[in-house]
Amino acid sequence: MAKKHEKKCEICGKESAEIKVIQFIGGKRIKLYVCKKCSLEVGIREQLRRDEATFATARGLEHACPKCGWRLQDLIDTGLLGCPSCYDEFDAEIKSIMEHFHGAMPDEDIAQEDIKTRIEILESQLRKAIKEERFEDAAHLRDIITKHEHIKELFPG
Amino acid sequence: MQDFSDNSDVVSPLWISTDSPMVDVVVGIEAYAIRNLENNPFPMTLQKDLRHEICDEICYGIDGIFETRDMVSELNIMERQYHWERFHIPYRLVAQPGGALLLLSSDESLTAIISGIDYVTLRLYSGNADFNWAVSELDVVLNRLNENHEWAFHNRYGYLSSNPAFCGNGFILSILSHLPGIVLANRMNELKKIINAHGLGIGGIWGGGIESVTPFIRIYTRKLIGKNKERLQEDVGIACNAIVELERESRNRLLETNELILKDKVYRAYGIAAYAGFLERWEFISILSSFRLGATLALLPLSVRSIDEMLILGQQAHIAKKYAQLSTPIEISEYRARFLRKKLSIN
Repeated sequence: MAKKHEKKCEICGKESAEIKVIQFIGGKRIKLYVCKKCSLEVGIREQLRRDEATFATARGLEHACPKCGWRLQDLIDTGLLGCPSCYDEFDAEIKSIMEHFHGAMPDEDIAQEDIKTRIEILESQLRKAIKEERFEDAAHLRDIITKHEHIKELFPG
Repeated sequence: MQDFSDNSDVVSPLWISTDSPMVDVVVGIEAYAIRNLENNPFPMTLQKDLRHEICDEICYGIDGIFETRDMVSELNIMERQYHWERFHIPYRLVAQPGGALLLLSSDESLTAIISGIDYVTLRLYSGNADFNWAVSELDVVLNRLNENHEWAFHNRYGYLSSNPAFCGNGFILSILSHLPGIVLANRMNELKKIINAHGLGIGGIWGGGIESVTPFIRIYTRKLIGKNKERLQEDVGIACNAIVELERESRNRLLETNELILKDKVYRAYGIAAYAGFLERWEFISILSSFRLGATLALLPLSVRSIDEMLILGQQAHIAKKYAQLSTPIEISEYRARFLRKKLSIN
């Protein structure tokens, strides 16, 4: 059940905000408090399942894939898509879901902080491998570290 | 007190009894492969009869790999739960079996679900944390399927699943781990740092969110798009080593600095197990977690793998299968308490 917040709807500014939605806009996670009418009219819906991923759609939730008939409402109800063509048909709507699950794409475009953590972990494993005279493992780890350092140089923070 | 006749046919899956160098932390690994038929709607949108028809078509060429074959809808709910408890099927199929077909290898390490939420879902389990081996075993089955089928593939999202979370290189790798040291030493932030850095996710050992009452945790590859399977194996392998090291270090540190707290946790669990009249599922798992910790630190004369076997055998549907006359939650909880005392050789 939607919680009633004391603030006004951030879209119309008139009615009480009843629904909190989370949207991914421009790669950023934004919280919006909206009234029920605005949530229906602009196609915003509440958190999709417990993962709090959702999407904004201007086409309405009855919009269906022409190939299989699966609607956006069906996606909300089940968390599933109907056919491979749904991925193209609902591309705009599921983009934020895909980013939520899979993060930035391509994979090389990862946070500097994550690269730094990976390199630290790899160097610790390298030291251990050398200490235990597992030289083949050490060589493999050194290769991976080199790859990560190359990525770090390509995408400076 | 009631005496129950013993159906000794119920044993734990073989793979959970395998010894391995990381057995103190890693209960097992899961390698998961997903494929869908090109130019076909996903199975959940089809009528049950059509899903059944497609099952035969897909199984052509791989039937010989599996020993048993069951339509999930023809199993009763307790049988479906039994399969879930043994990691054969996701919980969704317990509740909504639809037109899915379940195939099992003779040792239950390899399962295939045909026409579940996806057309082909293969799962391989191993007690040994060797992801390269696991993926290559799945490739054997996939190569046979590839001879007769074309798969749905998207230029941006890779191999498609009906679930957007599962799209990508077609594989998901999981570590089924036991991390009481990290939990007790309050080092979850360090664990999350390793997980986030390698594009992994964290959840309950049987799927779903974290079951916060126990340190049995599933760590799985979450970021699947843009990574080939070799890169996935590399990432999860490195993360697995780092997590094992963090857990071992946490346990040793606790033993050095908080030995009393650690021993209290283990021996308190033993005390409850010795005297409890009933054990509900969550308390049972929590006690086994403490036992497992105690076993790895030589505080209890138990083997880690015997505890892992108990983890499966003490689940509800396993008890119901072993003792058909038990049906109420209280009877099952009572049996569970007696089962544990028997395993610990306590009268």
